[in-house]
Amino acid sequence: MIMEKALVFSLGSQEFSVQISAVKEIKEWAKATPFPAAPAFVEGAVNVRGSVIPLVNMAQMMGLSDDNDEKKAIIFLKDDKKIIGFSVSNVTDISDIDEEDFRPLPELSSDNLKYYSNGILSLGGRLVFSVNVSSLFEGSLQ
Amino acid sequence: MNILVVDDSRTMRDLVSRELRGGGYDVETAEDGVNALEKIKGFSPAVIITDLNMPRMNGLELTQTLRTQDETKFVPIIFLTTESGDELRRAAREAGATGWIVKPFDGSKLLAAVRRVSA
Amino acid sequence: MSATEFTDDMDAIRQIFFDECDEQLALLEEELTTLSDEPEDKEKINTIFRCVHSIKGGAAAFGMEELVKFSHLFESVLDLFRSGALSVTTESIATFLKCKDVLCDIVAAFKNEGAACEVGPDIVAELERYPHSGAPEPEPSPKDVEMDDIFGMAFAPVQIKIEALVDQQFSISLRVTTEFYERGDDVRNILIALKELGTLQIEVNTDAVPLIGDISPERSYLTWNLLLATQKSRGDVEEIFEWSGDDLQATVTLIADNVTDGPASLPVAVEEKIDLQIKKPTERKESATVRVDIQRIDKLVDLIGELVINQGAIQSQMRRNKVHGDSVLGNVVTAQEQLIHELQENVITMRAYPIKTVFQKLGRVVRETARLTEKQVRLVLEGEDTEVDRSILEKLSDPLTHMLRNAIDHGIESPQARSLAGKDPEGLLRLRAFQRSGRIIVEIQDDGAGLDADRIYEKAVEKKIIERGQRLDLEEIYSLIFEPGFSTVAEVTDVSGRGVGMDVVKQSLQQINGRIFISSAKGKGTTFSISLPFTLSVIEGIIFKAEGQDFVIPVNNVLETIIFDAKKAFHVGEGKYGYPYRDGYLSVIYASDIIGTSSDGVNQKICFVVENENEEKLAFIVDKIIDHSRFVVKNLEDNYRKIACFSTATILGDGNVAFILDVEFLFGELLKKREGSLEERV
Repeated sequence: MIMEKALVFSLGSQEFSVQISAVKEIKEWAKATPFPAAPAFVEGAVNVRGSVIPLVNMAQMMGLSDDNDEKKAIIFLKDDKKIIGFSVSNVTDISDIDEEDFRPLPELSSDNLKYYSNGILSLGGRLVFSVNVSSLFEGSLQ
Repeated sequence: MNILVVDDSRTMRDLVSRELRGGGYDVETAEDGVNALEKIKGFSPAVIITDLNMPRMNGLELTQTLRTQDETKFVPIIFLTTESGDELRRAAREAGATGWIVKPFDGSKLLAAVRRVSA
Repeated sequence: MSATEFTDDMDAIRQIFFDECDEQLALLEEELTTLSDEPEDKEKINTIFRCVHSIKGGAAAFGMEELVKFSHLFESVLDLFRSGALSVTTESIATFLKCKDVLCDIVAAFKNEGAACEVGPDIVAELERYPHSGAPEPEPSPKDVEMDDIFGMAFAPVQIKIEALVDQQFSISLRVTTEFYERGDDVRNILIALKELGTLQIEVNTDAVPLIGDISPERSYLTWNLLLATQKSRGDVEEIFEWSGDDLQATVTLIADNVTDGPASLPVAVEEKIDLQIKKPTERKESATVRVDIQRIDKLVDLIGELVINQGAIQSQMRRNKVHGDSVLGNVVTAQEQLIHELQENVITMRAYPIKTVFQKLGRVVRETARLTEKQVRLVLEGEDTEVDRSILEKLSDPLTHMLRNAIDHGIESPQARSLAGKDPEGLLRLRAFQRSGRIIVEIQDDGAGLDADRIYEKAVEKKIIERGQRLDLEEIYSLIFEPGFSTVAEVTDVSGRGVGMDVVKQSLQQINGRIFISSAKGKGTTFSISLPFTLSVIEGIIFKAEGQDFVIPVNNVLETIIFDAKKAFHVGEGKYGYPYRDGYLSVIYASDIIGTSSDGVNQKICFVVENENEEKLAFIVDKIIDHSRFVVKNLEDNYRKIACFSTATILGDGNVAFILDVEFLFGELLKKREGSLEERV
C-alpha cells in the first residue's frame, strides 16, 4: 500500500514512468551542443541557468529506436550527485502509484528492457514501463 | 587549526590531544590556567578546551582572564569536566565558557563539540 | 597499519595513566600524612580532592568501572570537607588513608590486566556513613548502566528519539544577545549545525540595525528566520541550542509534514537553497574586514559569470544589428565590459585563501613520516600568506602530501648517512609559495641525496618506459618519475606508497592546470616547483568554428595564429600532414580529426600554433576565428563524466554551450598518430 507518485511520459507510442522524487525539472526540447566524443545516444550538452547538463536521448539509449522519434520535452532527473536531461516524445501526466499496480516484466523481455525497467504498471488499462532512475544514470554515463 | 588543551592530568591531556590530532587539528597542551596563559602567546588557538579543577589557576579563572584579553576575547572555550550540576554550568557560562562536555571521555562527542564551536 | 598504530597509541596512554596514578597516589599519601598538621588548610584538601578526581577521570576514559565507582564515592566524601561542610578529624584522616590503600589495590589490579579486585564492604560502609553530598549515588543496578548513572545525569537529559521517517519542516526564529558572542560563540556555528540536520533556508532580518553612525560595534542587532526541513526530531534541533542558555532565544515551530500530497502539477524547478546568509553583528578588530560565508561568494562568482555571458549576448546582438563599436551605444557597452571584467577579478580574489590552510596540515604529515622512516627532518614554511583560489587549494593538499612524503622517504638520507656525508644529520625540507607573473609557484625543496639520473634511466628501461639507448637530456630523465608505471606497488614503501605513484601526483596537478618542474643536484638535494593558475573559474580563450560548431581554445596555449594555406600542407604518411612554420615544420592536427565529422577541409582557413607545457608545438587547423574573450569555466564532470579532448565547457552569449579544448589531448592524438606510423614500419 505504499503510495508514490510517478511521472508518466512516452517514447514513441510506448508509455514509461519515473518516480517523481527524481524529477528536477521539465522543459521544452531544444537542440543541444553535440558532444564530439560521446556515444550516439548523447545528444549533447545544454545550459540550464548556468549549469552545463548532458542531454540523453532516452529511447535511443534503451535501444528502442533511432533518432527519428518526435521529441517534445526534456525531463531533467537528479541523483545525489548529478543532473542529466533526457529527451522524450511527450510528458503525459503524474499518477499515484500503488504497490499493487506493479507487475514483473515478462520473462521474454529484452536485456535492455530488463536493465532499464523494474516492472510494469497497469494504470487503468494503460501499460506503463516503470523506469529505474539509477539504471538511467549508469547507462548515460557509460 | 590550533587547539589548546588545558588539563592537569597527563592522561587526559594525552587522550584529548590524540583524539583531536586524529581529527586533523594541531594541539598544544597546558597543565593549568597559568601555563595556558603562557602557551597561548605564540600559539593562537582557535578553540580552547579546559578542565575545571586545576592547581594554580582553575578553568573558571582561566576563562574569566581570557575574556578580558583582546586576543582571546572571542575564542570559543569548551569545558571538559566530570563535574556536573546546573550550578557549575551557570558558573562556567558566567565566566564566559562557550560550551561544555561531560566526561567520561568520548572522542566523537569531543570532535562534535569542537566542530560545533568552530564551524 | 593504522589499526596497530591505534592500539599502540592507546596502550601508551594507558601506561601514562598508570604512571600518573602512581604519582597521584604518592602525592595523596604525602598530603594525607601531613594533613593532621594543618587540618584547616583548604589548598591541601583541594589537592587531595584533585588527586582522586584525576584518577577517576582517567579511569572513566578507560572504562575501569570499579576504580571509577570507588574514586567517585571517595571524591564525594572529600567534597564535603572541601566545601567546609565537615571538618577534618584524625578519624576522617584514618578513613582517607584506608581509601588511598584501596585505590592503590584497584589500580594495581587493573595494571595486572584485569586481576579481580573486590572493594571491601567495610570501607564502602565507612564512607557511606558520611552524609551524602550533592553528587548522586551510583546505583547498584546492572553494571553497564552504572557508568551512565554516575556521569550521565542532570546535564544530559535522556531523549526519546522518535526519528521521523519523512522530512518535517520547522520554522525557527533566532535571536542572540551580545553576551552570546562574548562567550566565543557565533550564530554561524548554530546555522551550520542546523544545516547538517537537513535543508536549511535562512533569512536575516536586518531591520534592527541602526544607521552606521549609531552602531555600537559589539552589540547584536540581527535576527534570523529559518526554515529547516529535516528527518530529525524537535529534540535534536533544540539540542543545538543547549549550550547557549538564555543568550540565545529560539522558537521552534513544527509547520507540517513536507509536501507529499498536493495538487498534481508538473514539478517546477525548486532551487535547493542552502545559501548561508550570515552576518556577524560587528567586527571585532579594527582592521576593516568582514566575514562572509564562502557560499555567498561562490554565488557571486556564478552571478558574475552570468553577467559575462549576458554581456557576450549584447555584443553579439550588436554585431548582428551592425551597431558600430565607435557609436555611443558601442562605447557604453565597451565600458561596461571593462567594469564587469574588473568586478569579476575582484570577486575572484575574494574567494582566495592563504595557502597556510594547506601548509599547516603538512606539518603533521612531515612529523609522522619522519617518525616512520626514522629520519630527522626540519620543515621550513615560507610564503604561507600567498593566496590561492579555493577551488585550487582543495585539490592541492593530496599531491603536496604525497610529494612531501616522497621527499622524506626517498630524498632525505638517514641521520647516519648524512653525518657520513658531512651534512647536518637533520634534513631540511623547505616548502615555499609565492606569486610569479600571474601564477602561483609552490616549491618543495629538500637537501637530501638528489635524484640519481643513471638509476632513473636504468629503471625506466627496465619498466619499458623508454628504450635502451634513447637519448634524453637531464630534465627529460627526471620527468620519467612521473610516468605511469615508474613506481610500482612492489617497491612502494609504507610511507610514500599508499598505492600512488608520482604519475598520480602529476595527473592531479594537471587537473588544476598545474605544471611541475624538477631540478636536482646529486648529494645536494632536489627541488620540485609546481606552477599553478590563480583560478580555475575563468579562462581567457579564443572561440573558433570547426565543422559548424563553436569551440574554445585557451589562449595561453596558442603561440600564434596564422592563415592556413592548404597548398603548403604536405603529405607525410597515411592521413598525416606536415606544415611549414618559421624555419621548421609542424605536425598537423585537423579539428575534423578530433570532432569526428568527415570534411573535405575546404573550410579550414586558420592555423593555431599550439604549444604545451613541454614546449612541444603542433599546427591545429580550424575553420575560422569568431572572437577572443574571457570565459566562465564549467566542469563537465559535475553532471557528466570525463570525455576525451574536452574536460570543461563554457556558455556563450547566445546561451549555448561550447566545449573548451583540452590542449594536452591534441598532443596525445599526435602521439597516437606517431605510434601508428611506428606500427606501419614494423
